[in-house]
Amino acid sequence: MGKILEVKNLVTKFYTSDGVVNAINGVSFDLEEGETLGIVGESGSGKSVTMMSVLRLIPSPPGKIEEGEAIFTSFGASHDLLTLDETAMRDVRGGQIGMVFQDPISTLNPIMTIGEQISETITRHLRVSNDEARQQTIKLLTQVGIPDPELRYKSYPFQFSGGMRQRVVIAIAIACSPQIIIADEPTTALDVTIQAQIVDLFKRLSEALNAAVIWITHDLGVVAGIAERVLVMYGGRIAEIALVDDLYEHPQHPYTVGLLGALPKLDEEETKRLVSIRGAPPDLLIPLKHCPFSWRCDYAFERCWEEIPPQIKVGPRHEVSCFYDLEKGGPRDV
Amino acid sequence: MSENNILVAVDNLKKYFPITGGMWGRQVGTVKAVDGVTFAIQAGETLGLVGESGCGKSTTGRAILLLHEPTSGRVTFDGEDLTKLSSSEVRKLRPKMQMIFQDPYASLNPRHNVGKIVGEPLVINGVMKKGSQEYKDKVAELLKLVGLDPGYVRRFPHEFSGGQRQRIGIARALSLHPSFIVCDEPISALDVSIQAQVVNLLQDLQEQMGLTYLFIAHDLSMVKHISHRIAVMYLGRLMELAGRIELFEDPLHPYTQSLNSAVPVPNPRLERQRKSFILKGDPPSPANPPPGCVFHTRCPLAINECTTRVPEFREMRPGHFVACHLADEAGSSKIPEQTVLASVVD
Amino acid sequence: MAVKEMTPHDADSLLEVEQTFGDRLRYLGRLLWRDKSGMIGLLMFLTVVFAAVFAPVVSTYPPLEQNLRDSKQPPAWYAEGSWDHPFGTDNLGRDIYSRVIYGARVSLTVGFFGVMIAGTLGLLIGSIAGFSGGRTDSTIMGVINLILALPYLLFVVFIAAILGRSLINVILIFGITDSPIFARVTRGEVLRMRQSGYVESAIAAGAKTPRIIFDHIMPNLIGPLITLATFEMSAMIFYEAGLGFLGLSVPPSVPSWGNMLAAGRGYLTTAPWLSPFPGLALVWTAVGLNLLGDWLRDVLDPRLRRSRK
Repeated sequence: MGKILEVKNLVTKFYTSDGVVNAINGVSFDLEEGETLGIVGESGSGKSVTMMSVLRLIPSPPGKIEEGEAIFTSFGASHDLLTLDETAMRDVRGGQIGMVFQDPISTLNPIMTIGEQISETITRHLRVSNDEARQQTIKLLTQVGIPDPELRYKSYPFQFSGGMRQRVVIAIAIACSPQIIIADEPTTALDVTIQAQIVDLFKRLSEALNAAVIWITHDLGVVAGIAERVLVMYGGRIAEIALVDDLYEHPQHPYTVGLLGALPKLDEEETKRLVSIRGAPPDLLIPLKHCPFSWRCDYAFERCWEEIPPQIKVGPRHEVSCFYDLEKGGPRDV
Repeated sequence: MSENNILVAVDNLKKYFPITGGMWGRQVGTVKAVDGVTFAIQAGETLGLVGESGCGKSTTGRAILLLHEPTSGRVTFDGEDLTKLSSSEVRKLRPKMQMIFQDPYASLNPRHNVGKIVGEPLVINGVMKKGSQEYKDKVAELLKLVGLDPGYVRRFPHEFSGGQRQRIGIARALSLHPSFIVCDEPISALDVSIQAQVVNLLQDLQEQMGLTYLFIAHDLSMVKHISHRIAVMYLGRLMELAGRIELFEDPLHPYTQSLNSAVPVPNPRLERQRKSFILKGDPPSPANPPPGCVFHTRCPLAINECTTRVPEFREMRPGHFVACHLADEAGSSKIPEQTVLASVVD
Repeated sequence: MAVKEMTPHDADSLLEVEQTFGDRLRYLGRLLWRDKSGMIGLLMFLTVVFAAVFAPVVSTYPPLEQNLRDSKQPPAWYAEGSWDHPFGTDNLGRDIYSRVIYGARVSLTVGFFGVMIAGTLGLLIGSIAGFSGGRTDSTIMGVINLILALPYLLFVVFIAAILGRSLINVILIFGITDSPIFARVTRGEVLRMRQSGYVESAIAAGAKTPRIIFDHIMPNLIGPLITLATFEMSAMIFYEAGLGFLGLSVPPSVPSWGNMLAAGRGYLTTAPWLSPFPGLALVWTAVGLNLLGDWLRDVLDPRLRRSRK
C-alpha cells in the first residue's frame, strides 16, 4: 500500500487583532491508501485547522499557512496541495477528497433541494449528463440509507432530521468516489443512537469505496471503534501517533495517558476516581519555546522546559513527542 | 435505604409547553416535554437521568426546581409538596435546592465579576451583607473550595476558560449550603481532560457536604461513573430505572439495551468484539408522540399491544423499574444476541 | 482535593486583566486607540459638543446680529472676502461661521433630548412588552409596527401643524415618533435575556423580579441602547435639518443648520457659499456619531472581548 497523503511540517497561523494565534506549529503525518486515521484532540488543539489547512479552506485573512507541504498522490501523480492552483484545488475538494463537517445545516444550501445539491457536485466534477447525475444521485441516496430516495430527491434540508442531513452530506462527500474522505466531528452534534447509525454507515461506505478516511473528533470512544491508526494532537502539535491498539494499550505520551485516564470505563465495576489532567491547555497566542504540556505534566524535567520535543519513533508506526520514556521511567536517549 | 430517607420525590410529573402561532399567539398544539414521570431520590445519592436531546430530561430538572411550573403532578422536597407552596414560600426553600447549568458561557452574567456572581445568592437571601468582611471571606472560601484562586474575585466571566467558568457556577450553587443540586449536563460543554476535573470536584463536594445530585446527561459513560442509580428517559417518559451496575449489565428495556450498545467504548479490542444493536430512524417529535409505548416506532421487539396501550412503569425487581409490556423474568424484552439490527440501509 | 488552576502561562495571559474601574477605563482607552475610526468619530463628535457648549466664546459675532452693509460677503479665501467673516455673511449680513457654531446648539439639543425621550419611552414600552409577553406583548408590538408603518414625514407635518413651531415641539415629536425603534430593540433584548442562563440562575438563587430587572436585565440593556442612541441621534439631527429646510422646525430667526440651508437655497446662484457650511457641519456630526456608534457596538458587549484561558 502506498502513501496517499503526506503532510510535512505544516505551520498555520492566524493574525488576529489580539495577536498571532499559533494554531499549527509543525505537524507531520501520512495517510495510507484505504486506511482510517483518527485525529483526536481537545478544542484548540489544532485538529480541525490541520485538515482545513491541507484543504486550503482556512479563511484568509486572518489565517495563513506559513510553511509545509501536503503531498497528495492520486493515480500515480503527486501534487503538493498547498501550492496547487485554485482551479485544480477545487477539483480535488469534493472530487478526489470528500468532506463531511460537524454541522450539516451550514454545509447544505437551505434553498436547494438535496437532490439538486448532490447532482450539482456530480456534474461539477464528472462529465455526465443531468439525467445520469440524477440517476446517480438516487443511487447515492439509497446507499446512505435515505428511504424513498425518488421522493426525497425533491426535499429541502429543513425537512430532514439532523441524522438524515448528515447522511445527505455524506452522499455529497462520496458522490465522486473520493480517495480520501475527511470527516470533521461528523457525529458530535448527533445523539448516541444516531451517532451509531452514522459510524456504521461510514465504516461500510469507506470499505466499499476503498477510500482512506480521516476522522477528526474529540471522542476517544468513537475513534476506538472506527480508526486503524490514531493521531493525538495537543497545542497545535502532534503528541502521539500510533496504531489504535498500541495507542490505547501502550500510550507513550503523558497527555494520551491523561486523556485515557480521564474517561470513565463503561466496563468497570467499581467507581474509581477519574485521573484528571491538571491545569489548562496552552494559550496559542504565546509562542512556546518548550513542550506545550510541560506545566500539566507529572514527568516534566528540565529538558521539557528548554526545548520542544520532536516526533520520536518508538516502535513500528508509533511516534511520540516526549522526552520522557514512560516504560523505562526516565528520560529518553535522544 | 429506607423510605424516610427520600429527599426528593417526583410523582406523575407533567410539563406541557403550548405551541403558539399566528399574530395573536393562539395555541396551536402542545409539546409534551415531560409526560408523567415518577421517581424518588435518596438523601446523599446521585441519580443519573439520561436520554437523547429533546427527551425532556432538562425540563424534568427544571420542573423539580419549579423553574418551569409543572403542568400537573407533585414534587416533594424534604416532605413538603412544592407545587402547593406560594411563590414566597418557594423562594424560602430555594437555598436548599440549587442548579448547575450546562452552558458555563450563558449562565454567568457577563457584566458581573466573579465575586458578585458567587456572592449574589447570599445577598438575595439576606444571609450576609454585601461588602462585609464575613461576605468577602465566604466568597473567598467558596472559590477555594472549587479550586479557584480567591484573587479572581474582580475578574469577569469572559476572562476564564470553560472549565473555570463551570467551577464559578458550582461555587455559586454551593454558596447557600444546598442539600440538593440539579446538575444539568454540567460537563457536556467541556473538553475531556477538563470534564474529569469537574466530575472529580462534584464527587469530592458530595462527600464533604453530603450533597444529593440529580445528574442530567446524555453521556452514558459519565453518568454511570458518577451515579448510584440511573433513570433512562425517552420522549417525555421514563423507560427504566435501576442501580448503575444493574442497568448496564442487565438492562430490561430494549431502549436501554440499544442505548448501551450505541455508546462507544474507548477500548479498540472491546469495540471490535461488541455486537451493537443499531436503532432505526429518529426519535419522533415530542409535539406529536406516537400512541401506546412512545418507543414502539423504533423498537425491534414491538408487538401489537405496544402501539395501543401505554406500558406501566412497574417495579420488576426490587429497585428496578421498567416501562415495557414485554419485560418479564424470562427475558422476553431482551434483544436477541444474534439480531444485529442493521440501520435503515438494508 | 481540587486541582490548582494557575500555571505560569495563565499568569502571563492574565496580565491584561481588568481589576478596578480605572483599569476598565484604561482598557477602553486602549481599545479606542487601537480602533482608529472610533477615535476619529469621538474627536469629530467632541468638536461639535465643544462648539455648542462654548458657542459664545468660539463665535466671533452674535448669531443674530444683522449688518446689511456687509451682506452676502464671500468667505475669506475669495478675493473679495475677509478674515473678518471667515465663512462669509448671509443675505442679512449675519456671520455664517458664528451661525454654524450656534446651529450646533439646536442640533445637539434636539438630538440629545429627542433620544432621551425616545429612549425612555421605548425602554418603558419595550420592557413591558418583553416582560409581560402573551396578549399584552402582541398588542403593543402590533401598535408599534403600525406606527412604524405610517409615513413618517406626514406624521411630523401633521403634529407640527397642530402644535406649532418651537424647539420643544420638535424634540417632543422626535421623542415620540422614534420611541418605537427603541421599544423594539428593548423588547428583543428582554426576551432574549429572560431566557438566558444567568436570569434562570438568579431565579434559582431565589431572586425576586425587581432584582432580576435592575441587576441582570437593565445593565445588559445599556450597551445595545447606547449604541442605538448614537445612531438615532445622528438620524434625528438630520431629520431636524430636514424639517428646518421645509420650514417645519424651529422659527426662522433661530440659527439652526436646517434653517440656514433653507435660507441659502434662494441664493444658490448669487451667493453659493450660504448653504455648504451648515451642510458640511451636518455631515461632520453625522459621520462622527456613526463612527462612534460602530465602535461602541463592539466595545459595549463584554462577550466580544477576548476570552482568556
